[in-house]
Amino acid sequence: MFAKLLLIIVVMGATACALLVNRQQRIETAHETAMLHQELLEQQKRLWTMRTRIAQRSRPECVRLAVSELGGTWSPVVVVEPPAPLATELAGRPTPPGPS
Amino acid sequence: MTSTPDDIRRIQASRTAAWSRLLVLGMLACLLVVLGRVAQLKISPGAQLRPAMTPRLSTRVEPARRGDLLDARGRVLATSTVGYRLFIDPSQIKDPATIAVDLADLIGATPVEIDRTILAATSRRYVVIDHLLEDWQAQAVREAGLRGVGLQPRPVRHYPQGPLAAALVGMVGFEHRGLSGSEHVFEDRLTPQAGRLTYLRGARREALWIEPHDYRRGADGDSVRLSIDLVIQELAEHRLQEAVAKYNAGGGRIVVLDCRSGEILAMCDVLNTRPGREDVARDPVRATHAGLGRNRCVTDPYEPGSTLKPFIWAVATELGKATPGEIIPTPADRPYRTRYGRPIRDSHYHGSATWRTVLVESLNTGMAIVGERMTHAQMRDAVRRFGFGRLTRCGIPGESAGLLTPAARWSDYTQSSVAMGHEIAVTPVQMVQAFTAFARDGTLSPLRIIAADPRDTQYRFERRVCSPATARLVREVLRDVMEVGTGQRARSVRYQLFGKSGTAQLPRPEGGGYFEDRYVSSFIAGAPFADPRVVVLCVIDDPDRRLGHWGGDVAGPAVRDVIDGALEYLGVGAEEGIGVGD
Repeated sequence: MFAKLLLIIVVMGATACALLVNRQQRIETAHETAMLHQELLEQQKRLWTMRTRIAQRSRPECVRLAVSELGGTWSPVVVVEPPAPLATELAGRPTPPGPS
Repeated sequence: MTSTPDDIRRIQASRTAAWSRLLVLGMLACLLVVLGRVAQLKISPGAQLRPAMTPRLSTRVEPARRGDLLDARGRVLATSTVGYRLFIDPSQIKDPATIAVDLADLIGATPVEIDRTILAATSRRYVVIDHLLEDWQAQAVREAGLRGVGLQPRPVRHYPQGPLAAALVGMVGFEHRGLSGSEHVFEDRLTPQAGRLTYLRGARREALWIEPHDYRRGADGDSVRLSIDLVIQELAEHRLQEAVAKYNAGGGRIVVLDCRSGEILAMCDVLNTRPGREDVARDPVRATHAGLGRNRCVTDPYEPGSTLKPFIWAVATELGKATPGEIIPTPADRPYRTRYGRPIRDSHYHGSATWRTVLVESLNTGMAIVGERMTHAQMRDAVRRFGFGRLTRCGIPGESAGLLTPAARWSDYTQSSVAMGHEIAVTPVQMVQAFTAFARDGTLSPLRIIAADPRDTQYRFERRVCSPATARLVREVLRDVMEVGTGQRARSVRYQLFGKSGTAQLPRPEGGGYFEDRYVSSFIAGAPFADPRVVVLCVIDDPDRRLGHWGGDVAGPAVRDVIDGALEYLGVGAEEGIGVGD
């Protein structure tokens, strides 16, 4: 009888300890998540600031200055592209087959 | 007496039962003690424990970002970051006497100023010390961890391009809402939806975790890609400022349009204050911030002068009122007298000229003669057909429809005046939109301030205003304007332009006629001739007459330079066999 009681007490104690450990881990995980969330927001803010700085430093005048510092001869790139069809041309195209 | 085994078993059983009872009772007693303690702590906690037992929930706003404004190629025109506002809660400050000095050390401010701010609001629990801290200041405050001192995040709007395209971009106000320009127009699309989250905090106010049922994610505002191109915008602004300075003008405007898609590639408006000379336009808020000023390219109409002639010429030709080769009896040495006796003057008298030459040489007399062949309704319809007198609905706030005499008051005098581009006022955006008809073989496309998606066919909706043959004919005549007419100083060495100059007298603001020696000089042109890509209009307000006032001389070179630069930038190769410009 004594042995049985002892066993029950030990098992209950162990279960309680396991539950406590589990609860503590859950709290720590939630805390860690909250910290990561805050870190994420901070990183996002930093990203926005960096984006602004990049925009400030890539203004056309800054790019032109950088190009002039690089030196050399720069020539424009000629883009060959087909002209966009006008609406009148689009209207003249046969209608694709579809449900009537 | 010896114990029998049965006795021994009985004794052992009773001992076990006794120990068991004792153990159970002991455990029950322990549990009761624990329960009692829990009840005591819950019902009547001690003074130290009491503050920690209240729920420490803290709700905060998760910042979401206002959408960016981008140019046609994705360059950032306006963007947002998070800044910090420094505030204090006087009731939480242990030593009010030294807080001002502590804060002043941290943010590099004057202690007296901070002290004065605090003393002015001692009864409040939220006193703002600084509305926007620099990064290093916020970091210093955060690291100091002063009790009763807080940092409140707030959105900050940045305009990385500075004053470039400021009137188009606009600006936001203190509440981060658009006040002017595109910031105002696209307010709904740019506005973010802030998130919300609730933290459970520890006894030392550190965040333990986020309550999952109390978390709402924020949604950033949408970014809006405008049609303007910063490189072309910068080129146009630079060239416009040069022209305004060179001719000591009161102001100037340039609009660059992609005539294929109707996208506005650049739009600039400059005002120049000259000592001793009256301003051409008043815009006091522009001095406060460039983004707050009105955009005169859409708000302020001007008298187009001869730049209106191609439209009348096209309609008159299409109606059969004159043929390109027909000889018009324009006078050789004196003003032409209309049927109602009004003298019409030319800047130089040509003698009889073909209808084509009338436009090339910009002869007022020839336009008036053919104008008399048209009915009032036909003339009025001619200008209405090209969009004058009605809004372009390009999406820029404050747009004016221009000024057009009502049909009921349309007189013979109006008929002659409008044929020469007088007694009518148009906005620069109306003028460039109308001019695209000659570049697009007779159709008008809606103007756009938002970049067009090449996959989207919606933007190709168009309205026909004249036949393709008429549009090509006008384009040919306007090419002659550049070769032998009033546009010679605007000829390009790279591209064949087709364009028209305009020089109109400046109307008196109080009414009652025109200034004798003050003008609005303008020039409009498109290029390349064979497959037009851009149309550029430059209007120079009130140039100094001693330095020049003809549209072809004052505004023409600026238009040419902008066209050359824009086409080169857009990848359009130089044309072969083009004459040399000045």
